[in-house]
Amino acid sequence: MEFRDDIFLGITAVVNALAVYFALFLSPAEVEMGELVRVFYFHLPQAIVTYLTLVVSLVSAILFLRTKATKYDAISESAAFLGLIYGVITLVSGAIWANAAWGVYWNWDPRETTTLVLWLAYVGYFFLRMSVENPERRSSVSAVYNVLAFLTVPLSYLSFIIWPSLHPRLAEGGGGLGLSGTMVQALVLNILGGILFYVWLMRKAYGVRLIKDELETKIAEDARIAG
Amino acid sequence: MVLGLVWVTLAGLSLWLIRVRSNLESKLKG
Repeated sequence: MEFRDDIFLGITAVVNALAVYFALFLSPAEVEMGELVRVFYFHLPQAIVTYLTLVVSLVSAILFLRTKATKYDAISESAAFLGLIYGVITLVSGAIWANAAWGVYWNWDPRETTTLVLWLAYVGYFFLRMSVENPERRSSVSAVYNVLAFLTVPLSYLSFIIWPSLHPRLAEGGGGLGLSGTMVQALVLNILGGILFYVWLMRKAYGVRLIKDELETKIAEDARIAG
Repeated sequence: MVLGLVWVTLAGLSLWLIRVRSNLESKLKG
């Protein structure tokens, strides 16, 4: 069955509209966080998608190293690119939340710091790609770098376990957030909507990379014929 | 504010990707 881009985008829009409605209007204020919980409904899904897209990037990089198929390099690069965008959204929305909750946008909390390190590691990935001219070498070197850069993902995820942190956690008890009923529904809908939109963006980014490759091959071919 | 940040960024990215794709396609045909 053919993938229907328009239907998929329609479903994504409906899920996200519902998610926004639940988060802004149906969900009650949380006991500890109060109205700030609504920021959290939009911040957490973006953080989850950041980790998810970097896992996709890592798996594709490993598959590229095993098979040398260029499609895996294309997937890996597209996923890392989206990781940068979602990383910025996560960092900025986290800073807005931090300012409202702690009175300061940035206070070098372990979760903030390790997520910034993660983001910078993937900025390095793109600088590396730009610095290698030979396409085959670029793909191999960046795939190896990607595997190393991924080490920052578990570091960011587990940071509040390794170091004392003010960052809220979802687990029950121990200072964790106690979400229930409509709050869980709002969070689940926002996570689902976030992932659906990510899948749509990933298909677009991958499509652009494939056409770019095709164009570069055509230019090289034309130059070879002309020369 | 956060909702606006998320959606403006993602919508901007979508439009940018669509535009880049259409530019590349026209270059490929031309």
